[in-house]
Amino acid sequence: MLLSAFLDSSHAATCHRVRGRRGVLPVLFFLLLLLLLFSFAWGRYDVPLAQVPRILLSRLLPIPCTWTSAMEASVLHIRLPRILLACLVGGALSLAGAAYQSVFHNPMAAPDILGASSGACFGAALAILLELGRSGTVLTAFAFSLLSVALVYLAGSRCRGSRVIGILLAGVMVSSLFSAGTSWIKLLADPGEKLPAITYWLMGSLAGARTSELGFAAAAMAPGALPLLLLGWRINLLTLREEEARSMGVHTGRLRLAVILCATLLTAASVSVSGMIGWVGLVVPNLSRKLSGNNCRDLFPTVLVLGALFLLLTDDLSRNLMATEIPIGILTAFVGVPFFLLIMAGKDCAS
Amino acid sequence: MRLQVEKLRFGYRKLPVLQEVSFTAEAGDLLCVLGPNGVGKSTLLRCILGLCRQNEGRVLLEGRDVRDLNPRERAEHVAYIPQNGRMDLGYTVEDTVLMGTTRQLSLFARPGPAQRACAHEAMERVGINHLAGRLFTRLSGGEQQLALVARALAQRARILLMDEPTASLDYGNAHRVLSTAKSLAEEGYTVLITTHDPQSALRFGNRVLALKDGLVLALGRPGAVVTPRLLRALYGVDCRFVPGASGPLIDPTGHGPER
Repeated sequence: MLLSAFLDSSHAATCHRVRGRRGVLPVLFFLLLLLLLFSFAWGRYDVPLAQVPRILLSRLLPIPCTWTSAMEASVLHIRLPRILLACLVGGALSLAGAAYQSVFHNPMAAPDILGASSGACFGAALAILLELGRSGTVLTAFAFSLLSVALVYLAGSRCRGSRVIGILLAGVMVSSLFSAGTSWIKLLADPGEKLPAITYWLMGSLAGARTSELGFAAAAMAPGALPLLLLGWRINLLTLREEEARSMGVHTGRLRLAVILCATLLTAASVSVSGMIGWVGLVVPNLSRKLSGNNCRDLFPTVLVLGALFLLLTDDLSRNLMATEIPIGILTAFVGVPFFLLIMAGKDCAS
Repeated sequence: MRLQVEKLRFGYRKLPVLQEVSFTAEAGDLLCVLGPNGVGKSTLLRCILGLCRQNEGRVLLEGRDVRDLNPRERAEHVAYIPQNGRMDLGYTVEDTVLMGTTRQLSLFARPGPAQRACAHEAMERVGINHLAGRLFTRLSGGEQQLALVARALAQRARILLMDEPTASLDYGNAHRVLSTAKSLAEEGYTVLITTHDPQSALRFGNRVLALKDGLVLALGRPGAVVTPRLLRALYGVDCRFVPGASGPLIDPTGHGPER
């Protein structure tokens, strides 16, 4: 469905006029609400669609009880945290991707490029190995993803020649360093218990969503997302050449650093609660560019909503498509890789 | 707005580019900077923009050193029109021109009606209002150059620096862009253009600065400065000047050994 939407919109983009796309956001928002409703109803334990809004509202309004306690437990305690986490992680990874693309002048950039994802994976694997517990895992993953981004930024900005290329290359290097570290940890891990835990976590999943994690994720994502949304207009100027942006009165160095920090915070928070969910940060921003244009003022809100929509849909599929749950990272790769090739083939895609 | 460059000296690492460059441009001037490839014309523009901070000598905007100004203050005085609009992500022409108004905005603000009016005025001035909704990346070279001029006008700076504005344009578009630059100078902007074409310096400029080996070889009115001797010294080309309807026409007759 998303792929056909992409093809349709790439056709639309060949028309020269690209105005009047403000209407996209309300439509996406409506679709998201619709999908939210279905996501509560759809699952191993069937909840009638009509009961979903009643159960949700029963916490706020006095509504006569017309549902079973199993339905209530399934909606409020199992599906609600998971659905909210899918929306948060989808929106955060996508926004991070869009921000990186603007800073690195590169429509192929994704949160993975700064090594944030692989750093977080290393940290989480280490925490599982050392039995640091669930919250310890989250914090360690977070710390290591920030560390790897700092490494990439320092190494990349000292590179001779183009700094943008330098940072991309440093990202590849640091990623592979942390991947090697993760492999080493897997080698050391006890194959009976810890190794499966690490492997499952690396594949990425929203299955273990709990309310406590939800709070952590939201608290870590808000300070990343808000500045990006507010700085949207100025971030546009970062996509121009350095001297152009500076001649128009922008402190490019400070702004670039701020955007990278915010985007990394978003990535690290997402990866540390849901494991390695790749490709979202590449697919969603590029689709959004088709829908709302490249102006970050319009792009960033679109990216947030579309990212939530995308990951929620993928997660619905991951828990309902087969008898056993498919890790969501596998599904996003199935969508992401063909999409990546599509972008590569059509040079024009981002413009 | 007066632009003064005093004994400017700049080098990349140990390689000197500008040795000692001094000149002044006033409101109403269209100053053409001539010189062979690699002589430092673009570096000169970067120094005026305050992007090469480790230079010796001074660049003064209305008497104030550019290095004492923050980016926003510099943007109030000087606008930069790059050689070609390389843009990795396509924006509409309206958004592109609106970017020029960024210096008027606070950190978190987006352009409002005042900035939109400013952008439309600028687009009208250079005659590209009909392109407002088009993608910048899908414009022709000439239209892109005019959109960048409009962006500089929306910035409301009084000094315009144009880096080889006609480098990749066809004959008609080059003429259109230079005529626009000339009429802007006549309106009281200080316009500085780097160019490879001495003929257009003769035709459009009211002052010429010729650079060679990091030094000022000649500075003055085009009629007095652009001579067969200067062209031979700058480019190693022998020329005759033929009288034309609106000034002399340059007729190259031969060239010396390649330098």
